[in-house]
Amino acid sequence: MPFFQNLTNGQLKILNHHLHERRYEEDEYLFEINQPGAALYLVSRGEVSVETSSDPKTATQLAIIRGGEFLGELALLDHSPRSASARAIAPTHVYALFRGDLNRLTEIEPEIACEIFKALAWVIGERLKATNRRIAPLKKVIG
Amino acid sequence: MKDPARNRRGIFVYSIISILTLASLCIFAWCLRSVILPMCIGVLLAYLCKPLKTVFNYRGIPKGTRITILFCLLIGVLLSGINFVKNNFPNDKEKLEIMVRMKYHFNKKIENFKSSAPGIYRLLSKDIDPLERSLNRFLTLSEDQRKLFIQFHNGVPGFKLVPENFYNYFLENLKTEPHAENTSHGGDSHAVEFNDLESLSEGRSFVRTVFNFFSIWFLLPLVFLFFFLDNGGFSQFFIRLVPNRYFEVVLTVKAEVDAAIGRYLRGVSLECVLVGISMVIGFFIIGVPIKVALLIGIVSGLCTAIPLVGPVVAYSLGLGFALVAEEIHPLLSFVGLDNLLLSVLLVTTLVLVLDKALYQPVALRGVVNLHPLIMILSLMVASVIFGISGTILGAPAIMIIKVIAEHSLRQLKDYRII
Repeated sequence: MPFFQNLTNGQLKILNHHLHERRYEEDEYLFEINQPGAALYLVSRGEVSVETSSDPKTATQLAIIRGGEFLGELALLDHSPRSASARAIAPTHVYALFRGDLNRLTEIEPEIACEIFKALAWVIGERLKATNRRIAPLKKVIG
Repeated sequence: MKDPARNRRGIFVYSIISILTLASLCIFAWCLRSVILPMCIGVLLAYLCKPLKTVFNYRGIPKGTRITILFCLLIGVLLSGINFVKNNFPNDKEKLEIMVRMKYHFNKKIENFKSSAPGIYRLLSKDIDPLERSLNRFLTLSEDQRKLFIQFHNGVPGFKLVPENFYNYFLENLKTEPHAENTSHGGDSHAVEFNDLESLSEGRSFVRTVFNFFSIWFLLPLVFLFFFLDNGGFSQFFIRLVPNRYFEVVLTVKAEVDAAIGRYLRGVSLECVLVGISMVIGFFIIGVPIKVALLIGIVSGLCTAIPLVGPVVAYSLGLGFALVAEEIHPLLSFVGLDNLLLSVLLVTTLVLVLDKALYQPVALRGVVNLHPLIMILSLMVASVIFGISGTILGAPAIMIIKVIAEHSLRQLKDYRII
């Protein structure tokens, strides 16, 4: 998983104690918009649709997260509610990293926590750049 | 999406498993009630030591060495505790001596009070007389105890002789006890036979004490080590059983409850230490020997963790000592044997006031608080069901239940589940 590519085997073994393995059926929600966020989800297998609403009929799909990618990362950084809903669109296998566990890691295993925060910062930066690229044409249209 | 029939089957299976698990846990807890106390103390100690885990996880030392060091430390602390109890807990002879001394000094003090302040005595006689009678009844030696005391006075192998002044107290006490004439006159004779004197030998009773202690308390270090060394695997197992819908709620509640229990335990421990130190200093200033002051401080400090019991133990120990004290070396010139009872009362009250006014607000800041009435009722229920274990663990248990209930309700609302 690219998220953990800089961690050694020993560090991965320690991190494994702090990850929660979950399995979701098709159409089952990982989390819903406006709920308090408390965990980041690393998708191991399957697909997750990130949507603007908890009602699949009215929701707009924002992204599809596949194996090796992750979602819900803002929950690790602040206490704001979820900005979107996440629905499994295929049987999905994820690993959840809880905010409290990451905070504990910063105390007992700061090297691992540091790697995770670096990865988070890099991914958030990449997503920001991608968003800027997508809204650049819109800016021109609006003038 | 699961079909409704599968959903219903899921709910049915989950409900049956939950009910069976809960029932098994209750039966399990009831069967193991005699070892609940050491197990719970082990868990609570592990919680208390959580902040030390960072030090314990220091990478420079191999894991095996770290566990061995921790285990040796634990065994060292336990053995020191046993040794301390062995050295300071009165044996059969000392218990009899304490009873004789307490009764003698108590009656003397009451007589002095009656003669020096007859007006106040008349005013309070309705309260003092029953207290005097019941305490005298409690401290009166039984026929067997009297014979045993005389035997100790005459000399029993392995025990020091009873000092002559204590024996005189004993004879004085006998004058106030009905049906004691035979004992007092026949006391010096060697006609009294004791078949079980050998069993009183210090060594044997210590082995028995240690065996009894280990048969129940061996669980404490094991439970402590298990929870202290656990890196989340234990809770992960249970969290895996939680349905996806409640997963984040359970994780959040668990983290909040963890933090609240940790804060409560560390706060209470700090309060106990502060009360213990204050007691030691206070008693030392009024002339209580340092060894006795330490003992009273440690026991009172530990008992502070049990609401209501703490003050009762502190007063009882202090007043108990004041009753038997024969010689004191106070740092304050106006304290003497005559006003030692009053000084003990003042010191204990001062420490308890300090505890309420200063220590508790500082040590228990941000800790969950319970209405005193709820605390008293909970303690009574817990002590009726689980005896001494219930009395000791009642307060933390009710705190944990309150924290879980509060946080669960809030999170279930936040997640729009209820």
